[in-house]
This record gives sequence, structure tokens and C-alpha cells, in this order.
Amino acid sequence: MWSDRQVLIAGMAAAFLINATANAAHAQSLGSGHTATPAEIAGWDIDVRADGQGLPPGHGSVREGEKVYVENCAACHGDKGEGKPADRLVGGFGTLASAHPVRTVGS
Amino acid sequence: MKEQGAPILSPPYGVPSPFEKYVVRKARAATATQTAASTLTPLRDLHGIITPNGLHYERHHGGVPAIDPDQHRLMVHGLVERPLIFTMNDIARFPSESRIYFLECSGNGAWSGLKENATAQDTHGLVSCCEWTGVRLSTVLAEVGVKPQARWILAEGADAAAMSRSLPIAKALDDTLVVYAQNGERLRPEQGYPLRLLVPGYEGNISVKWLRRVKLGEEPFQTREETSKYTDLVPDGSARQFTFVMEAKSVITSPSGGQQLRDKGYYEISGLAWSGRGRVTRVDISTDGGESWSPSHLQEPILPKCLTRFRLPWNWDGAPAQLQSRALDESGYVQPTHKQLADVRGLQSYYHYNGIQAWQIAQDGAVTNVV
Repeated sequence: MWSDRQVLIAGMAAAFLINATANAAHAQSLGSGHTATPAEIAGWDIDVRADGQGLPPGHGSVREGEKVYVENCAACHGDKGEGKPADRLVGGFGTLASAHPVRTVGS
Repeated sequence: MKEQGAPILSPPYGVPSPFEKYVVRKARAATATQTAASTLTPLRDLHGIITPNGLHYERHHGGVPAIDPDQHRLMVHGLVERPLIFTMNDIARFPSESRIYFLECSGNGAWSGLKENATAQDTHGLVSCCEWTGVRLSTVLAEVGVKPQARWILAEGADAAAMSRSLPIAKALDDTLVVYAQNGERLRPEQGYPLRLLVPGYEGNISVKWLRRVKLGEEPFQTREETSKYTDLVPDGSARQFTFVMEAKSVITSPSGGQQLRDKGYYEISGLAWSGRGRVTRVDISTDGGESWSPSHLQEPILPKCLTRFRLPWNWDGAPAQLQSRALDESGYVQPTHKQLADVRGLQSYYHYNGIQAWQIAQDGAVTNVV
């Protein structure tokens, strides 16, 4: 037989459990948002990581790359990547520890 | 005034008095474009700790997009149990909270090169402070279910630059907010309307504006803005990366560069202090170029990762004086001098300069920046 006190404690514990479950449900989901489909994710997922993960399938050559650069980049970054008005992209080797560091993809 | 004044609703959305027309933002520097550029908050002419929405500093990497909130979506995917897409209505239905936080560009201030005529707007105008309202990012992440192997998130904006940064999961689950309102109204377009990240105490760049995508991954994503930019070159030619926290800093805004003291006598020295580590605990003032220091009065509320207003009464005797302020925070950090910083980091870090600022007061009362 349980004493009144034991019943009270058991009741409090049960109430606590119900409350904890409610909190867990709250923490898990409010039912907000809708599922992102694989097609939707593919349309938005544009980041490319340092190891190349995320790059779209494809191939290219330096010659093809030059055409892309001239059409899309050269107006701001210069015919040879020398910069002006936008950032310089080439050169600056060995300058990073100097008083006039040149920060480029290469340096 | 014996005439009737202007009627109500002139205009429906109130604007400052025409007599205040000089209190505006200004471009930080001449830049190649007006879309990848920044503007400075006029700190000298502001009061208290809140920055009016129209005067919050700007830093854009591809201009300010015009986004219809009904069309805007936030996708959260990657290492999650349930990749989800949220509308602005979905976001607004989450439990909300409002917090007052400063936001500071890590390029605020200069390691060298500022001129004698620089004002507080020039020296420190890439900091602002607002009450931000939104939902904890942790609440949104609970909705998608973070997989245990997730260690970093990528936050990406919907601007032309698709500005993106990596943030450690611990900070994402701590006090980071996804916000849609500032100072009581919806975000201004130049502050990320309709949705932005707000990462308290961290360099402003990571509080990605026009937030459209959050991706969870195992490692940082190494975006342009955390490799080529927003890394801090040190003397051996290597660069510090992911130097997120904006360390304790302060600036006297009155008297400050460009002002003119008319007469000797009583002045209130006043300024702003802040720390990305937490609360400001003390701000010391020197009027003799750093020889002696007196603690100032801190105006409540003194909130973590928020601007704190300090004040000190001062009697100017009419002789040349040099004013400096030095902030201390609850981590025990003491704002360093320019020399202390340069000895460790050299002069080429570009970002994260938080050295003590000095203003020179000449015998005629003119206030100038100490170069």
C-alpha cells in the first residue's frame, strides 16, 4: 500500500514527466515550414567548398576560361587580372610578410 | 510662435527637423562602385545608445536588394533531419524575442592612415546599436533537427553577392537571432529586409543580411568572405582566420574631432563603449594623453554586447589637452593602446582594430584626431 505522501510524490513525478514530454515536443517541432524537396534544394544549393565539393559537373580549358574571364571579369579586374577598378587578382608573391602586402589569389 | 504650425501627418512617417539635415551617414571611402561600399554612422551627433534606423551604418557587397517579403523564403538544409523552407509568415509565428545589441563592422577604425581632421564618424562610424526582434536561430534549428555531426553552419544572403559566411554551431545555438525588426519596425532594406542573421558580439559581416539559406555542415565552408576577405594578416605573412569577436573598444563622442570648444569651463565628456565578450564594466578617461586616468559614470542599462554610454564632468582650463578613453569588460579584457596592438599584430591586419582613440584639444578649443 502506498501512503498518501507516496501517491503525492508519484503524482508529481508523473506530472513532471508529462510536462517534460510536452517541452520535448515543443523543442522538436512547432510544425512550422514545409519540407524542402530534393529539387528545391538542388536549385538553391550553390556553395562550393575548398575541396571542390559542390561544384557542378563539367570541364573546361584555359582557352575557354579566358573567354569567360574576358566577357565577365576583365572590365573590373583588368585584362590580365592586374586590377583597377576592382581587386587585383594576380601577383604579389612573397609580399605578405612585408610592409606592403599584395593580397591576391596567388600570393 | 503666433501662427498655427504644420498639420498632423506632415509627413505620415515622421522625419527629423530640417535643422538636423547635416546629421546623416557618409561614404567611408571612395570605392570602385557604390554597391560594394560602406557608410558611417554620425556618432558625434547621436545621444544615448540607440542608433536611429536611418543612421545605422551600411556595408553592402552587391548593393541593397528590393525583396518582397511575400516572395522571400528561408531554406534550412544540409546535416539536418528535415530540410525545411520557411515563409516570412512561418518565421513570424515562431516564439520571438527582442534584444539590444551593437553591430560593428570588423573594418571599423584604422590601423593607420586617418587624418587629423577625422571625426568620430570617420574613426568609429562602422558601429551602431539597435533593439532587434526575431526568433532564436536555435528554435529554427530545433525545427529541422540538427544531426550530431553538424559543426558549422553556412549563412547565405539573397543579395547579388550571395554574401555568405560560416559560423560555429555552438554560437548558432547560443544567442544568435534570425531577425525581422529593428527599433520597433521591420528591418530597413539596407539592414537586410525582410530577414537577417544577428550574431551578437561578432564581426558585423557574419550577421548575414537578406538571409535566404542556412546549411549545416561538418566543416567551415571557406567562402570568399572568410579567406580572401575578413582575415587578419600578421607580421609573419600568415593570416588569422575566424577572428569573430569584436573586442572591447570605446570612443569619446563629445568633445571629438571637428568640434570647437568656445570657452573654458565646464564640459561633459561623453562617449560609447562596447565589448563583444559581454558587459562593459568600466571606462577610464584621461585628459592628459594617457598619463592619468579617472573612471567615468556608466549610464544604465549596461547590457552585454551592447553600446554603453559613459560620461564624466570636466573643467577645461583653456590649456591644450588630450582626451582618451579606455574600456574594460567583464572578461577582464582591457582596451589596448595602438602600440600594444601593433607590437603583436603589426599594421597590416586591416580588420579588428580596437586601439585607444585620442582627441587633441588645442589652446583655441579646436578638437582634432591624434594621428
